[in-house]
Amino acid sequence: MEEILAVKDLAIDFATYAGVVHAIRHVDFHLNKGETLAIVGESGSGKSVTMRTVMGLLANNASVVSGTVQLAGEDVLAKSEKALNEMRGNEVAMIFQDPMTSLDPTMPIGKQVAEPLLLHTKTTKAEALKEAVRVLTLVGITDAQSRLKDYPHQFSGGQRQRIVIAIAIINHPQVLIADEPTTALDVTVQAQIISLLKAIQKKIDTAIIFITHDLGVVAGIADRVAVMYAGKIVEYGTVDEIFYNPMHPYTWGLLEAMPTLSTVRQRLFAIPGTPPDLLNPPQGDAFAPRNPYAMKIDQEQEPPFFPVSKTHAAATWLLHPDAPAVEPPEEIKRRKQLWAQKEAKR
Amino acid sequence: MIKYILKRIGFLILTLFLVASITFFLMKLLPGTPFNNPKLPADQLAQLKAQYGLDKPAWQQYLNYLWGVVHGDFGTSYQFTGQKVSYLISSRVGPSLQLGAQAMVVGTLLGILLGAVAAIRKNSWVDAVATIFAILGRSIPNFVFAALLQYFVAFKWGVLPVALWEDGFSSSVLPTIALAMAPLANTARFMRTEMVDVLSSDYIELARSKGDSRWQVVARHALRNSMIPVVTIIGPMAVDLMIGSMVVENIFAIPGIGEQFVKSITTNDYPVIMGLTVMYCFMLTVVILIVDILYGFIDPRIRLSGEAN
Repeated sequence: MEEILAVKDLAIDFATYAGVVHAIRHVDFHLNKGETLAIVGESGSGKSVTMRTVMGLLANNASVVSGTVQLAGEDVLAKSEKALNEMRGNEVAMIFQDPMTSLDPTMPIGKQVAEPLLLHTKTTKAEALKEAVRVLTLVGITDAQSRLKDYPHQFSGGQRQRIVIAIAIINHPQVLIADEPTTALDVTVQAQIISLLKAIQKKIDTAIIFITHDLGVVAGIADRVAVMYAGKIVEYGTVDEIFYNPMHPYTWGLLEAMPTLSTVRQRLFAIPGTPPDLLNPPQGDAFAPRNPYAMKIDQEQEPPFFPVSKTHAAATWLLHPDAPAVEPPEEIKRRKQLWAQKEAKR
Repeated sequence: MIKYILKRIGFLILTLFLVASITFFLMKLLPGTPFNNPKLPADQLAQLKAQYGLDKPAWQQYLNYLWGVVHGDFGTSYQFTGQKVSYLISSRVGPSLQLGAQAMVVGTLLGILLGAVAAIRKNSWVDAVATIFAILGRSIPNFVFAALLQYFVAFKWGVLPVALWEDGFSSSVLPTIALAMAPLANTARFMRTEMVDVLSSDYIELARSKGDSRWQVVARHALRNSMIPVVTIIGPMAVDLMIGSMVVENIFAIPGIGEQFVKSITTNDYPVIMGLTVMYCFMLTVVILIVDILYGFIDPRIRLSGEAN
C-alpha cells in the first residue's frame, strides 16, 4: 500500500506564560492512500495539535522541536508560507468540530463552498458555483441550486456540517482530516455524517484521518486506530486489533469506559485520575500514575513500542518478555476471547 | 424592508415631536428674555413681547409654535430681526454638514484600517503605535488638536489656511482632521478588539484551511465580521461630532451652525434654539436609521429578523 502521509518523530512545544508545554512528544504514524486512520485520545492528548501541524496551521507560540511531516513525498514543515497556502484546501483539507461556528456567518454558503476552487484552480466564478452545487448535492443538501445564496444561520447543525464537508472535498484532497466532526452533533446526525464520510471517501478516493475521543464512532469508520495519551501514541493497530486484542492499559481503560449492550454494571467505568501536566511531563510512562498495572520500571523509564503483529504495537512494559502476566479487566478479557475465537477460525 | 423603514420614519416623527416639546418647556425655564437691553422702557418691552407673542401663557405659545412647525414655519429670529429661522439654518448648515461628513468618513475608514492592522500584527510595534495613537485620540479634546494644527500646519508652515471658510476644500482640511481624531481613535479601538476575536474564531481557521493566505482571510472573512460592532458606535460618534463641531467651528471661525447654536442660547433667541434642536435631533435620528439599515447589509442575520418583524 502506498503511503500518502508520514509523520516521523514529531515533537512540538508551546511557549506559554506558565512555561514550555511539551504538547507532542515524539509521535510517529503514517497514513496509506485511501484508508481511514482514527486517532483516539482524551482532550489535551495532542490529537488536534498533530493535525494542525500536518495542515501547517500551528499557533504562533508553537515550535517544532523535531520530526518531519511528509505529505505526498514533500516535507510540510519545510514549506514556505506560499507553498502551504497552495497545499491547504487542495492536497489536504480539514473538517472542524463545531459546525455552528466554523462557517463565516456573513457570507452566502455558495461562495464559501466555491472559494477553495477559486483559490486553487483557474475556474471562473460561474463554473465554481456550478461545481459547488454539485458538491453540495453530493453531501446531501437538497435543492442546493436555490440555497446557494442562503447564509449559514439558515441551516441546521447537521446541514452545516455537510456544507463544511463540501468545502473540504471540493478540490478532491488526497488527505482529509476530520477533527471530531461528529462531537457537536446529535447521535442520529452523527451516524448520517459518518456514513456520508464513508461514501465520499469511496467516491473521491481520499485518505481520512479521523480524530475523536469516541471509540464507538471509530468502530464504524476506521481501518486502523492510533491511541494517543499525553502527547504520545501509546498503541496502534487495525481496528479489530485495537477493539479485540488491546495491549495497553490505557486502551483497556478507554474500551472499558465505553458502554456496550452487555454492560451490566450500574456505573460506567472511568479511568481514575487526570492526564499529566505537560509543562513537566513525568519521568517514565506518563500513564503510570493512573495505571493499576503500573510496575516499578514504569516510574523510571518510558516504555518503547513492543510489536504485537505486523500492524499492531503498544508502548507498555507489560509486553516486555520479563514482565509478569497480568489479568486484564473483565470487559477486555471478554473481547480477547472473541479475538481468540476469530483467530482460531482463521 | 420598506415596511420596516416606514415604521422607523413614524418613530422618527414621534421622536422629533417629543424633543421639540421638551426643549420648548426647558427653554421657557431659561432666565431672562430675548430683550435684555436695560435701557428699554417698560412699555416698549411690553410691545415687543406682544409682537412676538411672548405675553401669552406658555401653553398657548407652545401650541402656536407647533402649529407653525406643522406648516413649515419655524418662526423668525430675535437676534437678526426679521430673519427666518429656516433661512438662518439653511444658509449656515452647509459647512457644518460638510465638516461632519468628512470627519466621519475619514475617521471611520482610517480607524477601521488602523484597528485591523493592529489586530493582524497583534503585540508587534505596529500594534503598540496604533494603541498609543488611539489613546491620544480619545483623551485629547479636539479643540487641542484644532489649536495645534492651526499653529503648526497653518501658521508656522503656512501649508493650509489658518481659519475662515473662503478657500473651498483646503479650508476644510484642518478642521476635518481635528474633528476626525475622536471617531478615528474610537473606531480603531473597537476594530482591533473585535478583529482579534474574529481572527481566532473557527471560521477563520476553516478559511485558512481552504488555502486563504493571511491577508486573503482578512479581506474576505475577517473585515466584514469585525465591522458589525463598529457600526454600532457610528451613532454615538455622530452625536460627538455634532457637539464637537461647535467648538472646532469657533476655533476656525467657520460660519457653521455650531457657532450659531451657542450664540442663540446666550441671547435667548427662542425660535433659533428650537429650530436648531429639532434639526440636530432630526440629523441624529436619521443617522441612527441609516446605521440600522447598514447593519442589515453587513450582517445577514439581522437583515432577516428585520423582515420578520
